[in-house]
Amino acid sequence: MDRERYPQPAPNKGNKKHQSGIESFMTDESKTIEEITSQEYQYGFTTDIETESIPKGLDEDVVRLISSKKDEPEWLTEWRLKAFRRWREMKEPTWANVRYEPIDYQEIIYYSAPKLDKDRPKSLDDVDPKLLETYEKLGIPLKEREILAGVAVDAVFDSVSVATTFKEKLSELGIIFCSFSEAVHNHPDLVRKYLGSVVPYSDNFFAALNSAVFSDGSFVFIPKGVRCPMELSTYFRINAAQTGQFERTLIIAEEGAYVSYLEGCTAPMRDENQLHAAVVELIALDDAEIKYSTVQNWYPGDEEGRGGIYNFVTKRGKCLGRNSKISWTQVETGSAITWKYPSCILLGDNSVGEFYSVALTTNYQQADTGTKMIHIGKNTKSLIISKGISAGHAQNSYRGAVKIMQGASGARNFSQCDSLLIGDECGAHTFPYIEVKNNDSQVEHEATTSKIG
Amino acid sequence: MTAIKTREEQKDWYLSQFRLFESSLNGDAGQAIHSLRTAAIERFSELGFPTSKSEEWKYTNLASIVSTPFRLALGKADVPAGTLDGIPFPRLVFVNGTFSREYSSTTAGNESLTMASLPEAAKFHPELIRDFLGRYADVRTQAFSALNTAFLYDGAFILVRRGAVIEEPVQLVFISTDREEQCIAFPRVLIIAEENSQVKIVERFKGTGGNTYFNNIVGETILGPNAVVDHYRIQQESENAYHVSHSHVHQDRGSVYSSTAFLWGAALSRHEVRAVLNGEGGECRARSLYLGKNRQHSDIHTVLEHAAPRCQSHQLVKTMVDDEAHGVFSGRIVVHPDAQKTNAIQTNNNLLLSESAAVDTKPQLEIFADDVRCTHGATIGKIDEEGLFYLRSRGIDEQQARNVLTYAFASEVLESVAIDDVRREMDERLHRQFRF
Repeated sequence: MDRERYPQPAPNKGNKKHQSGIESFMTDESKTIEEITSQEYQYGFTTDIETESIPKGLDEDVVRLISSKKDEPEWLTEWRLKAFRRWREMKEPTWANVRYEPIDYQEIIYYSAPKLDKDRPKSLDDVDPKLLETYEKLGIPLKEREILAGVAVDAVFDSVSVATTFKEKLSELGIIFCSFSEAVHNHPDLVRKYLGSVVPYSDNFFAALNSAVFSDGSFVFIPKGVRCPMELSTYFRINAAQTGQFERTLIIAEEGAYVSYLEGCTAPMRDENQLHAAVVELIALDDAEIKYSTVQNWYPGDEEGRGGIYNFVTKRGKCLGRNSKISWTQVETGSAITWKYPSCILLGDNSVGEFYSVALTTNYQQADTGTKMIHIGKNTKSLIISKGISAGHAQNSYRGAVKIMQGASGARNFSQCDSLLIGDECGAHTFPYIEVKNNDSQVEHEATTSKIG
Repeated sequence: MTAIKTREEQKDWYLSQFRLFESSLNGDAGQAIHSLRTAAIERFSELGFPTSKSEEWKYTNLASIVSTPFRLALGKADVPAGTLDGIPFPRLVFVNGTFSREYSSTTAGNESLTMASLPEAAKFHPELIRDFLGRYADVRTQAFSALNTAFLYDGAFILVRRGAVIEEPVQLVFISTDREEQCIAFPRVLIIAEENSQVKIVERFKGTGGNTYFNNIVGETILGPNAVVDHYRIQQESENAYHVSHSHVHQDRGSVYSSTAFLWGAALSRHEVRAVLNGEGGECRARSLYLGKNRQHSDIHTVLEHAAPRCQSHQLVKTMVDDEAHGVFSGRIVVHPDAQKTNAIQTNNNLLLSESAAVDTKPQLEIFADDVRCTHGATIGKIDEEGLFYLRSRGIDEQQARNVLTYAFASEVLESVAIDDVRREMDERLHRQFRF
């Protein structure tokens, strides 16, 4: 395995100028923004733990191999294969406002797992200390910090889950919070029922790819009437060189259930671009509520635009039941390229979809992100608040769709998309699509682009 | 010929019409303008008509235009009495795409204003025709502009000389008569407003029957420094007609271009304005009002490019759709990297008047300069319930109250009309629709 180490950069190197004269509140504020936008990536380190990888490239055998390594049931192997065959016929989407060199999908390694596979850790004491160190550096409360942090962490290291905390406490309430692979073995009926029900494997190019090769991810099930007592949280980390990361997350909230889920990402610095194509599916039944928050901080590439993560993610929630609610919150500061549209299908009457986003792009980063709100049920409501900040040579696009179907009487949407430009070499763009087929509905969209001050 | 099915048939059909057109030119085919035509037909056969896969045509299904084997509108046609009533001089009248001297007044070689047909203008101002005809129309990417240019022959030419201020509005009338055959016409308009000149133009499209025909229009408007052009379009095509209009505008520093469109007719229409603010301190205003009924489909498309600093643009697009009508708006504001101090405002309001009406809107901002202020706002909804309640509580019956509110919604576009006669005419038209 690649054992190259990258030095950790000193934060804020030589960037602070002494300011004389009157420092107003405004200049203070803009200085802060300037500092943030010129900051170097702080999480660039590679962990030395042995990784078990398969050869690079993708064909049916690789899909089968991944499935067999994970000891998956026949139906799931078949599902992966169907996805793979579909993916082979699909074309990579080109409509997004992002530019990158074509990806060679045969140059990617589609599976890598920490080698401690046979000897899975029983408790945190069994976990490779190097791994714990990594989490330590990331500031993740993985050790005995239950009460202090109030966070249960299902940590995904590269592609396989290695540690899950709080499981017992949650299971008392009937909550299932585990790695996707575990869920496949322990709760096959639930997985089979809901997998692909929100994002079918044929949905789009990257979702099809993920469906074929997904390595692991998180599974959450909140039973009827249960309010999850703590924030559930997963930290992802791309580690082994040349390894694509293909998580799959599935969250189900039964009638009247509530859960708040926090996803955070960091990746070490590396020169080659790395592909990250995740799929997240949320299902909310009657009166259920799911809050999904993301802090996306993958390696964005260096100041010249070399390296960085390609973050091509499909996230979608289905408000299946009446009065259900799904809310997406995202802070997007990382990745060389972001292609991501967390969406809500508002199927149940009176269901609510929300999208709150802050996207910050600097240097040569490109982000094309936004949301889709599809109103099908009656009296469905959606709210979109998006803020984009673009600096350096970055390009930041909001792309969103609001669809009001014919039966969605009483539907209501409000969207506000603001962009800020810092410097004259970046770009900020707004591409909303609004389609209304019901005259008893109301849609409002507002967008502004301006500079500070 | 029966319906056109494949892209290959589509291409062959228009190539055959082109050969027919070429043979009717009688030796004119040797002129420089003809190379423009041949390049354009070549480009059209490469492009073909756009499909709904094209982002620019996402919400407009062109199947009915694409599948109909339209024939070139040739030969003389009679204009029914009364068609030109109330349309004052000076005016240029075109019948089925061909200039009609009988109904027109021309001024060629006039010191301040030249109004002429394109072939006439080519004699008096060959250099202007050579330099500007086809210069800003985007033949490379716009299939309809390419097709129009391929069949470019007749059209209106308006030249306003340096410093001239023309008080009387210039009227352009494009009449489509009721015919058996399904015809296609290619009206073309070239407007040149030189430095410090001012002119008002009223462009009308009128169908005299209920027949199916296709008007494929291309306009080019060039504004010199500080020129002011106030451009009105009144589209009253027959209810079964197709109307696709591309208007390309090029603005020099300090110039002001206003486009105001009233879209009443046609089964399917596209009103496209593409303006480039190419000099400092220019201003562009684009307003449209569309009222859709029955199964009408209207697509309003704007692309405003801020290519120079300190320019302003204001857009107001109002759509009301009733019955099963469909309204589409796509508005793009592009701000180039050096177009600092840009101020661009775009407002799109849509009113759905029936259960089966639909609206798709796509306001877009593409900003590459940091010191700008750009906003867009879009609303889609029904008549304000509170307003309705207010009126009804004062004893106004529901239908009347609805009409008052609908009229109020539309009248915002009327307010900015600077020609009294046009404003009165459009106001009456609205009142006829929404009696109260």
